Amino acid sequence: MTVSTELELQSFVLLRLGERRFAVSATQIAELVAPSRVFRFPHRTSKLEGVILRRGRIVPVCEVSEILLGKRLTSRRFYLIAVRNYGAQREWVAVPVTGECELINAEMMPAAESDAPHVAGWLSHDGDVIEVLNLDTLTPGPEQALLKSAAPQSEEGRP
Amino acid sequence: MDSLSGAAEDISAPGIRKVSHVLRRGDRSLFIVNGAMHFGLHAAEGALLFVLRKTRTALLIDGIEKMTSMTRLQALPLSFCHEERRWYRGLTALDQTVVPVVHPDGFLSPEELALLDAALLEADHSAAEALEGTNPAQ
Repeated sequence: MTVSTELELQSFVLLRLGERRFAVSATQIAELVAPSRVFRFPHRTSKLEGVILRRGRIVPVCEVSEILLGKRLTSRRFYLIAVRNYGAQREWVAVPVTGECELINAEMMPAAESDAPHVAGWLSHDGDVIEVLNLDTLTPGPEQALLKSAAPQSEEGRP
Repeated sequence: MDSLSGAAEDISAPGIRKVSHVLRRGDRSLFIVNGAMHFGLHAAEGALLFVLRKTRTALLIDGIEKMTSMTRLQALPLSFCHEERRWYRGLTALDQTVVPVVHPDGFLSPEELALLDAALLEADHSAAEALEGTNPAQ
């Protein structure tokens, strides 16, 4: 049995951030919405811009471009609203994207141990090798806060 | 603070810059928390004092924008995972605007209150000693 026959076709949403494309499992996507007003208020969680109001729900906007591209992107075309797991709880998070999104079917290669924690796997599409994102580790949550507080020089530890 | 200048006393506790005054009301002490400093905002002088019910906090604020009632309080999304979880009870939407709802007990932690109480005790002790030192009977 070859590797390819062991893999299954799955649906992914391809999103664009700057010049790069990333994928997220389509099962995690709630909707794609036009940018709306971001409400900002004081907080201490990095990578969190504020919240948007969507269908009466308050959805946090998670800034992921700095981790994925190494620079912050200010332009945005849509918010990809995705489901993020927090243990047994699930909540919506909004991820800003800078271009059109696309739904594709592809086979995902699982991530290797050496891959970054936010990489769920890899897929090949249109001659590109694309990272499949694990939003549960890419976006902020209590587990990251615990890791940070355990680190000796955490952001919160600074005066 | 002007209207309180006669009633508020200075206080200084290590690491708690947001509290610089205390207000005595009978046997109770209310610690005046600078709201801007608490939230890490640009420090403002503050013009009004909110005495928060069932707490030992009086909150110094810039002004009141409006008073209204809310119909629904949404829990703070779990993405917010640091100090703000102590600060806010949740979020509410008012006139298509999202507003955080503060937790009255979130302005001073038990540890901060203990430090402030210790600073207050020390200040009282110093004041008593100074008074004894100026007593002509001694």
